[in-house]
Amino acid sequence: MATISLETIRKVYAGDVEAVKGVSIDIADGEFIVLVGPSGCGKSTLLRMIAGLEDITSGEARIGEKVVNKVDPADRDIAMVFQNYALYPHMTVYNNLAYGLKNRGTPKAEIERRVKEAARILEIGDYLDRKPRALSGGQRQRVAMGRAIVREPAAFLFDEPLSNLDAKLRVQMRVEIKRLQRELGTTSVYVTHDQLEAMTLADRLVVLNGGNIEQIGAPIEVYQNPASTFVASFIGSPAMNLLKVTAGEVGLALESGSGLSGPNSKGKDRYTLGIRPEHLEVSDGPTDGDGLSLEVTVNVLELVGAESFVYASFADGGPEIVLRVPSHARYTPGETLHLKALAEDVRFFDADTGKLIG
Amino acid sequence: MKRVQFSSASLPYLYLLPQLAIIVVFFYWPSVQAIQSSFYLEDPFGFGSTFVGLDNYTDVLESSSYGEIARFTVVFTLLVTFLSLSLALLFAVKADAVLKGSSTYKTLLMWVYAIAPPVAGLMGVMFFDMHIGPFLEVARLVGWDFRIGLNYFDTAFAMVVISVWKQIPYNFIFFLSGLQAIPKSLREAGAIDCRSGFRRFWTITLPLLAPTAFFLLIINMTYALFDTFGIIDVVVKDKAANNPITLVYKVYMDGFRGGDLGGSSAQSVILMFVVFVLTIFQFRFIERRVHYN
Amino acid sequence: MYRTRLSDHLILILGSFMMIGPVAVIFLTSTHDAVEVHRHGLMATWGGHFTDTYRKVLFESGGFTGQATGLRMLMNSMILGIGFAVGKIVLSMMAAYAIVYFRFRMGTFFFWVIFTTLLLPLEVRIVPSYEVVQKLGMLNTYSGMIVPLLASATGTFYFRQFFKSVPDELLEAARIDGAGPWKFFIDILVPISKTMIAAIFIIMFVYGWNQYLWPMMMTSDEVYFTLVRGIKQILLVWVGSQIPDYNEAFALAVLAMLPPVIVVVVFQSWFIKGLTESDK
Repeated sequence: MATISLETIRKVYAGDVEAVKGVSIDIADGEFIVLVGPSGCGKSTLLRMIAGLEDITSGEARIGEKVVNKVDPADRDIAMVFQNYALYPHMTVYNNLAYGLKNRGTPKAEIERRVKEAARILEIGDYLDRKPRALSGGQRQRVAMGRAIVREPAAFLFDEPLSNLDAKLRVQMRVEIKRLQRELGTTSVYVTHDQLEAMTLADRLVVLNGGNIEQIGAPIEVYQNPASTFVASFIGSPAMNLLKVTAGEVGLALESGSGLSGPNSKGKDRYTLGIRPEHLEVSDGPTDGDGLSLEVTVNVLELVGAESFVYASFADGGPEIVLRVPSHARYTPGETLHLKALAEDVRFFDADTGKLIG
Repeated sequence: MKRVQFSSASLPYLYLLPQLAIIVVFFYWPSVQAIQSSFYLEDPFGFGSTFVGLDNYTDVLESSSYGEIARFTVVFTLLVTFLSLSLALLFAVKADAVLKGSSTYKTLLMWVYAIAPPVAGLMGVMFFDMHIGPFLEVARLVGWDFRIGLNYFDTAFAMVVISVWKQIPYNFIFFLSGLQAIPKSLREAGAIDCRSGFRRFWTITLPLLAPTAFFLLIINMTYALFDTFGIIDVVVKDKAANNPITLVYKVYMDGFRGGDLGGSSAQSVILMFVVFVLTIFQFRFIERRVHYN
Repeated sequence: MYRTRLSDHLILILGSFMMIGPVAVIFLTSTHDAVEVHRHGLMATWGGHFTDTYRKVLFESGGFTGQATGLRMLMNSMILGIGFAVGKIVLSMMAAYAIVYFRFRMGTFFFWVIFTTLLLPLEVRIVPSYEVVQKLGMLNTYSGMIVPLLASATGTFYFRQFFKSVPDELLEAARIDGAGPWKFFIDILVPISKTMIAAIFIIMFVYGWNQYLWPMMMTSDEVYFTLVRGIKQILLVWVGSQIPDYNEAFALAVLAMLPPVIVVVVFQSWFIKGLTESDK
């Protein structure tokens, strides 16, 4: 077990493509960190640099106290779970688990003890003699986890390990990974593009975009106070409503011309206003006060079970907005709604940089 | 290449060494020699050689027999390629269509691949033989006095038949696997959109087979140019005199039996150029095919 | 959907007959005696001289060749077929491994040095190749017969394509598991290439076994004659003989085709896979 620290890590590929642009993170011992972002944001490259599978162009990576920039992957005391599992197809499950230990000269009895223990934890004891090809997707996933566990490494690295599973199994394995990591207390770095996976697993989230860190923080912190419009639209589903407004003499105006009333940002007259779908509420008519108030027309009602999403737009076009309503609520397309929200739930972003204001 | 590669100062060279050594000694050395001696005239008694520039080339290209052999080679190559491709395609389409016995037909139609060209040649020669060959009687029925080895056309006919017979299995294997690679859903979509089976074949199946067919076209041309050596050698029985032969056979005759090293080398270089062009075609095409998938 | 028609089967049966017929006739004729064949032509019936003829061809010397028995030639063919296939696989796997899995400065250069060999078949450089082998004193040796045939990139090309299709993560997982270049090659890459190796072995065995021109030029000593090379001898003996030994010639031809045919038919699926999936 160990801390991992990254200091202004950069990755430049041949042809001057800068995939990671000076990223610094300090990961505490036993912490579960999730790197999340859209494809091409550099999250996998970052993970692979920690693993030693990619060279670090500049900066310093430390695992424990040791600088590992030039250390071979095998000597970094890490274990990795791959998206396609990368099980050795010609070896039995037992040998897949044991291979790394054998290469390190671990005594036979110790290998057996560790493999049996990992198999017990992951409930794969029954298929130790099988080849990967004879296993289901979920079972293969467990074997891949097992291969990481037996090594008893300082850190686990996960590269989108659940994206090849079907939706139901994915939820199940997600819970299991979380439980396992708690039990073992091993420092973990987990890469995913799925924001729900990120939210549920992470002790701390690292949101990446275009090779830069957009925000680091606990999931709830990131959700409630997204550091930028990018984070606001990436974390949470449906995403936060973002409205570009200009403060006028009477209330606020959208680019399309529609007006609304709402809280003023400190000292700026152009800014982006963000509000989560669950913070919008249907009211009987226009409301006064310092909260948000707007008038929209219903486009579509989407029933998802426990709740419904209403997609609506302003009279003069402009951005479509979403609100979350109880599933018993009935709205028909074309209907006009008055919406309100508390001032404290509204977030402000700089119109030009997209950064959170205040 | 791989995302992650090993880096080592000596290992890759060590792994490459055996293959490279053999290639340098048995490929580059003789190839360079061929090119070199194509500019020299070898003394027939082995007393050195004289530089003659492009004389060997002009001699070769101006000789009437070379022109005739080149013409035959072209006709032979086209005939063999066309006939073996179309017959193989016919069998592949039918083998793909039948539900019962498909794998039996497959085995029966592909196993001849394993027979060596000269062995096929020997069998063929016996079928066309003037003493014991059954083909003669068939030919006589239509008033054809078939004389293999004596009549230029008859010998050429036998060569083409044997070469086509030998090559059908190879083409069949590729066409069949090409056909079987067409997704079922695509065939079903075709069946819904197009009623006529014949039209469906021309408008859907054949275009999808085009990459395979193009690949085979090149392979078959190389086959007809080079791999038929064994067949031709057996059919002409060392008496090339009035018989049709291909360019490769002439290289062998002039260089190995006739001792005309310079002329033979010049012919080799000309052939090298032909294969070079063919292979460049093939490479470009393989690159493209990778993108298809 | 498409309904199978009778004509489909007819065409296929005709095709199959076209492929099998000649070989069957040659085999059947080989069981008759020479005089009978000379008098009546090729036979479509069983002749009853099967054991005589094949025993003679296999074990007695001095038929078409002075000293080589059929068995000797069979053995030589085996040596050529297996030696060529094994040599090809070992050389080309190693070369392809270096090209695909290593980053080194001369990589691209060596790639082209090797792949240029695809441009020129042995047939076009046959005379100078003969001279090189002669200079090296390798005429009438097994290595002289096999090694020059190995100077081409076909196998390397196959394995390169295959290695490229192996998921990158397998190497990454193995590196994290502490496997170095040699361990990865032996522990992981060779075992997962098993089917590919088998397929290439079959293709190369048939290719080696069926070599004609090269062994013909290389070997004047009958001790090194292969079965396919023996065909040439049959023809030379026939020129000028009254009643050629058709039966023995055909028996030799049958022997020459039997092993590769068996290999190809028995391991059909591997063979087809190897042939069609690697693009030559």
